[in-house]
Amino acid sequence: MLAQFEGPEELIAAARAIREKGYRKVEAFSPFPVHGIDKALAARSPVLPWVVLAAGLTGCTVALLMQWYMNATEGDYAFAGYQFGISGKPFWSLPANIPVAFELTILFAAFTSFLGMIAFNGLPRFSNPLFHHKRFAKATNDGFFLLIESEDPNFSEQAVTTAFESIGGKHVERLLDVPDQPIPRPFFTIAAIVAVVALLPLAYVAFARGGHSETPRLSIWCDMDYQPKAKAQTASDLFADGRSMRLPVAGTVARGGLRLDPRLHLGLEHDDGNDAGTGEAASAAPGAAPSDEDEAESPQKPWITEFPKEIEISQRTMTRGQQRFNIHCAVCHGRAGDGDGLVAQRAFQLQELGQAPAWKPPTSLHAETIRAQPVGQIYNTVTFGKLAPGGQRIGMAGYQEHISLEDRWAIVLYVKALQRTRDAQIDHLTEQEKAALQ
Amino acid sequence: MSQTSLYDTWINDTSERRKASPDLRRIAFGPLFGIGALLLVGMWLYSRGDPMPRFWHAYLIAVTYFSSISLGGLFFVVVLHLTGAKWGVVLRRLGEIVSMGIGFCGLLWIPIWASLLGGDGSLYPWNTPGVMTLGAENYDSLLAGKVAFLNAPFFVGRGIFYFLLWFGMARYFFKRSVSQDHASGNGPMEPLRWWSGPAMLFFALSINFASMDWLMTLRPTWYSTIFGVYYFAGSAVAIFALFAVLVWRMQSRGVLTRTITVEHRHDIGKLLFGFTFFWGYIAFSQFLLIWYASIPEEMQWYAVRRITPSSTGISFATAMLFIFHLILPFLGLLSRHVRRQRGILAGWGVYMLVMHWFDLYYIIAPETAGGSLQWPGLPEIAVVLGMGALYAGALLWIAAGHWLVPVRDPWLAESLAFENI
Repeated sequence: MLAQFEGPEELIAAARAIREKGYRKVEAFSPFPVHGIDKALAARSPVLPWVVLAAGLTGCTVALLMQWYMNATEGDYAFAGYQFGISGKPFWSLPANIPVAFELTILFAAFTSFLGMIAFNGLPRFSNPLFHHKRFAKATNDGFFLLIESEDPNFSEQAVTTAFESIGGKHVERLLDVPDQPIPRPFFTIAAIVAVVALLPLAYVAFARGGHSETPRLSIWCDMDYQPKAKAQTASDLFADGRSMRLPVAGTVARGGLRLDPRLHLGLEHDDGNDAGTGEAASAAPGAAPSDEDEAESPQKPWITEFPKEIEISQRTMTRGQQRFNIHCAVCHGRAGDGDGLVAQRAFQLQELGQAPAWKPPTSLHAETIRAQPVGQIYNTVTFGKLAPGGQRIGMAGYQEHISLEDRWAIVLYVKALQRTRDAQIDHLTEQEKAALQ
Repeated sequence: MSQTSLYDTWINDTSERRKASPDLRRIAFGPLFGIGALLLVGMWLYSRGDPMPRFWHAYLIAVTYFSSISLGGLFFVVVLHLTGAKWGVVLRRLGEIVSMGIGFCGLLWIPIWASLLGGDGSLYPWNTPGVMTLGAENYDSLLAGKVAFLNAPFFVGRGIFYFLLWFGMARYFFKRSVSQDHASGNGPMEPLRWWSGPAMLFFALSINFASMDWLMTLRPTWYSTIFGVYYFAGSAVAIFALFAVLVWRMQSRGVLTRTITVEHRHDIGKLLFGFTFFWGYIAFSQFLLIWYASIPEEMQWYAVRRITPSSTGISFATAMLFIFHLILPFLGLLSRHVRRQRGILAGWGVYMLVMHWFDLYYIIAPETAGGSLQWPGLPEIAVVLGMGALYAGALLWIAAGHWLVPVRDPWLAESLAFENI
């Protein structure tokens, strides 16, 4: 049963009165929100806020778990996380995870409140008995209505009509419960078409994954594909000296670039100060020429004979040294250190054909002179390189720019081990090892 | 009931007090100023022997604290005029009175300004004699590069300018609003709407620069572009927290019991909640960018404020602020029922006022010679209580004899009838 009232204040008064008469299934309709109607209708406090709170907390938890799983775990199983170090932060780093947690909290809460509002209101419905009522259209303009549903325990058409009229209701009318009209057919057609169209991009992605294409990739958004930037070792008009690569500012040392410990950084007991290939000059200028010293002079330098205390002598360092050696050194010196790496072999071939320029063959690491070198000297060679006698600009280049400090020392450790393989004495073994061999 | 009839009923309702007694000056001034002055002078004498200027740090914490409350009040008044918001008209007079306190805060700066002009660098390191003199033993080229901005006369001049600007604005809005109480038309109110636009612009710029001067130059080599907003967010938290407490205190003494309804208190709670989260958003934004880039000249500020546990100072100081200034009040104020309960809301108001003070303590205290954040001690607490007594006395002095609600405001009827949906 529907009745119309004059205005918002009458509506509230009527709602209160109709509740006092014992009706419970009462609904109010007005063109704008009316203050106090909730109280007058004694609407139950809504459940939705609690649902939204739960959804927000869920979003927060999901975000934290997701980030933990993706970036802080790693394993040999399907859909495993991947530990990706970003900006030197720990894999599981709460401050970095808060923005995502914040956003997922809001996302979950917002979707839940929107969809929850629809669901709690029994929507979507394609039809409602009220829509068949001519006068009810005024509820969007200037009509204020009260509705009592037939499910109300006190409902009887006569009683409700009397009740409405006694509190000033006009145009009291009975609504027939028209069943929901079926959803119109074209709706399904349109929905199906939209669904198919929505699948097209996904299908294209799946297709592109399987095949391969000769054409350059499609850049819908170029992101950072084409940047105005200077590449390494190119010329530039921007700077007065015409280089795109910049030299360090005079008198500055890069963070982590201070090299003051002669044992660790030069392989020397103390800095003798006249080594052109060592010290700040070499570290400040990338690709500086290797030292011009004669080999004959080298043994007179105060090389250190023990590894610096910062370097850990362990199986781990040894394995690391082997890896680095095979990557950086073996191409010339050969995997076994005999000076017969692939580059050397090719150079010999070219030399036999008379096509090679001046070429100093790589030293065999098992040569007597090299075996006699202390660790400091080997380290210094790895770091700053070695020129052929007589100061010709051929020979081994320094590797300090390519290999980190710890790795260069690890290579030295591995080279020492390689040398030992050709020079093993029974005295090198401990008593236990001898016993084990026997 | 229509709004007009509601207003007619209200104006004839004599069951509540709406006017501050002129006797407040006599009653409030003596005891409050006595207690305040006693605490401040006593604390100053007590800590004169300290190797570091602990008293002056405590003083700076207190003076920036009360300045921020008054600035929050000014923001509230100006934003009400700017947006034409009608719900808050019943609270506007309280905001106006609090904003008028900015003049008194300016007076409290005078000792600091005097010491700066006298060449004392113990509070602000850039004022140490020699740091900007080439060839001096403690010459610092980084600071010397900032000499054009960071020198005592300009610093003091800027400070005086800010306070004159703020006091001028507060006084203009207050006087016009008060004269409306006796006016027959809406004459006094009319220009306020227009002036609220430029006023907001000046306010935004000046609070940025002022907080930079007061708080960031304690560590002049530190950079943060968001810092002004951080201080503003704290001010907004402070004013709504103060409103929550003030309304509870006044209503329990029979003042404005009918004028300020549960709906207005609900809105105070919403704004307190919102600005608490805004503060957290800004504070976290500042922290996240600095933490992520981890550049020493930015990170130095957080390095002394502890993110990780330590044996010295407060462990997790930054994380603690995050939890107790953001997460806890966020959860506490989330519910509508909390915001509509006068006592509970006032409890959160007190809590946030304390946390806002701790926030300023967190900003200022580690810049003492110690360089790490210790727990607050007697000087900090005694000074803020002493200055609080002076500040409260000043606010009561301003309020004395005035209506506590703009009785003839054209929008008062709307404000009285305000209801949340």
